[in-house]
Amino acid sequence: MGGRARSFARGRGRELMDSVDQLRAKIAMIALCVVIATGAGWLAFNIDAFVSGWAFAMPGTTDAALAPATFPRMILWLVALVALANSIGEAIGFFKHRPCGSTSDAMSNDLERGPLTAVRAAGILAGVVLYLWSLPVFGFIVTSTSAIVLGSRIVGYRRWPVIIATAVILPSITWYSFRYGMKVILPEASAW
Amino acid sequence: MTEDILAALSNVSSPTVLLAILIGVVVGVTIGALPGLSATMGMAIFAPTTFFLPPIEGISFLLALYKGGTFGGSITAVLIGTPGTASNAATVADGYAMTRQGKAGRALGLSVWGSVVGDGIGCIVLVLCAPMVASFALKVGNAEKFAITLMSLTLVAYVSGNSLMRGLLAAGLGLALCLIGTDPIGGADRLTFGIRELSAGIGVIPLAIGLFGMAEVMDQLGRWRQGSLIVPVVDRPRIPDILGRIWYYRRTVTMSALIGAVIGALPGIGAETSNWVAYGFAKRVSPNPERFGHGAEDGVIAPEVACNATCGAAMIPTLIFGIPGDIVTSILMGALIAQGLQPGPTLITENRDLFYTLYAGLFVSMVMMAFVGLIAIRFASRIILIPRPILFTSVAVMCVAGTYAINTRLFDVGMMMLFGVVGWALRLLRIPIAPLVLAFVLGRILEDSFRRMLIQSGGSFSPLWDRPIALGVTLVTVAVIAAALWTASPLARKRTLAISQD
Repeated sequence: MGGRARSFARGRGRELMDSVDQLRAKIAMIALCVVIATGAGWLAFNIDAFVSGWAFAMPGTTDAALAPATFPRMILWLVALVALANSIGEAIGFFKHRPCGSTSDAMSNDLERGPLTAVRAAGILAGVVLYLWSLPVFGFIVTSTSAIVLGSRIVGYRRWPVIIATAVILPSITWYSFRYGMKVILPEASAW
Repeated sequence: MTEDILAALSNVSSPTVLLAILIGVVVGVTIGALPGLSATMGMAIFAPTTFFLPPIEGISFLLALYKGGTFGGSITAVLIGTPGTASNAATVADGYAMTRQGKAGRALGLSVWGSVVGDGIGCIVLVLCAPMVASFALKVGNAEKFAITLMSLTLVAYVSGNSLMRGLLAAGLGLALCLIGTDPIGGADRLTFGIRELSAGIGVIPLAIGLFGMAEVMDQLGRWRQGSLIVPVVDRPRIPDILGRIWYYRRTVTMSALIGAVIGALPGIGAETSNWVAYGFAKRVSPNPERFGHGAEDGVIAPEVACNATCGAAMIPTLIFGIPGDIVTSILMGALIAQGLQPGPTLITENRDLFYTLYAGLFVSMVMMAFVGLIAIRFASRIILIPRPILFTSVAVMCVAGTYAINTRLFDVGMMMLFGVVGWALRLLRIPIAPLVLAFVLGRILEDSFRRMLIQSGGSFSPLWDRPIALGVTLVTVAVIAAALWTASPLARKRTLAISQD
């Protein structure tokens, strides 16, 4: 009896977590749509300020319908309208969502995938910013070597020989193949 | 024509072209076989490296990678029940069921030869249809081009998303992004916000690498857990047995190839759609539909034939109209333009030897895929077991190197990373990315043809109904929008629910 009650409580707990996740996703979607609608609407209103060379854009005509700002304005209004419709539809639960059919969806039964935690997401975003900052300072080889080591360790991979071998070999081979194969010099260090 | 074909055969038999095709197939199959890596991502990452090769070698390499990647996704679909790419999602149900019954080798054999047969039929469709379509394409003016592009955008938003509205939102964002840069008619700066590097616009390759490559890297690293992938033992399939079974299901093979070719030829949709349509059709015509989902051999053959038949046919709108058939061909179009080749009807008339060489290259890559595929079956389990943290951090490094190589600018790397974050966010919100990239590519064609049409007609929309081809395409677009709105309406939802309850 106790076991059944515990199982019931676990099931209810999972349902509650799912509904909280759904609510969170819904709020994020509405917020994103409102931001897009506001931004696109503002740009559509002020598009003339962002299009230079008005007079030279359409030789032989002065028709406002053919002005270079007309097409961008139409597109931006369209985006604002679609974003607004999405936010309203999402808020009142009007739209039906079919399965996405993407690789990520299809990988839902993958044993090496788990839920995304806020800590890991923040770590990955911080890693991206750090990589971009250090690329011109320390150069491609050092930055990429560090990225492979830190990236693998942060997500919990622990086989040091594999990590070190990849981190040492891959960036160097890439640098030299680009340098001598394609005559492209990948970013070099400015710090030393 | 005979001279062109002989020249093409001479070109394609040169060691460098053969090597480029072989490397393309091997890289494609490997990428496709790795869970999370797709042909799209492979094309995006490797496209910049081809800019430094001669056009024939570079484009042949990309085409071979595309084909290899489309097949490679079936390896993981069959062995671990996880498709390598969305094009192989329909293969999972019966392919994985066959593996659980101890028939992994046979399932992979059917997948390899199904892919080869589908690929061959797709190439034949391309060879037969391209000259006819090209002569028709020469009559296509700005009004027709605008109508076809608009129809492609509608199809993209309708079929490739988890909902019509989210697909439209993604397409809208793609259209808005393509406005950044230089005005295509007047040549003035537009929406650059004072950033000099944006004057040339956002490049399709950094955008695609970010949205597909970096976003996938972030998602995979964010969700990776120490798990236990159990890869089954694969018995070596006997080729006569596999070919005999494909011959037995010849009706399904033919219909699936036709479905794949027709869907591929439609601008805007590709293999992600055709594999499901073919699977559904095969189930409907099968004398034993109850076996589907429980290891039906035709359930493996049909989606593999269809998604590979789509590859060749998708070249028709891309090469002849300059309107990409799917994401992969839009990246290919970017690579062609970078090589100084403008896709469109004149590509055939002005670069006949290149065009026929690409045809010949498609057939050669088909033959190579048969051999590489059979070898890949033997090494499949080793490919799948590459540790994902190592794999994806390495992919991130390749994304950076590939993006930097395009213009040797750190600005492009920054944009790629930014689009990576955007792509990851869109993925988390279940907003499809494919319509965004396709709309970004189609948007430039749409604006150019729209404004040229208005200039020619003095600001009137009348060419859209005065010209028969434009009128026909516009009517199809209206029908697609009406069907999409009907599907999304509460009344249609109630009916669907009632039918499913019955």
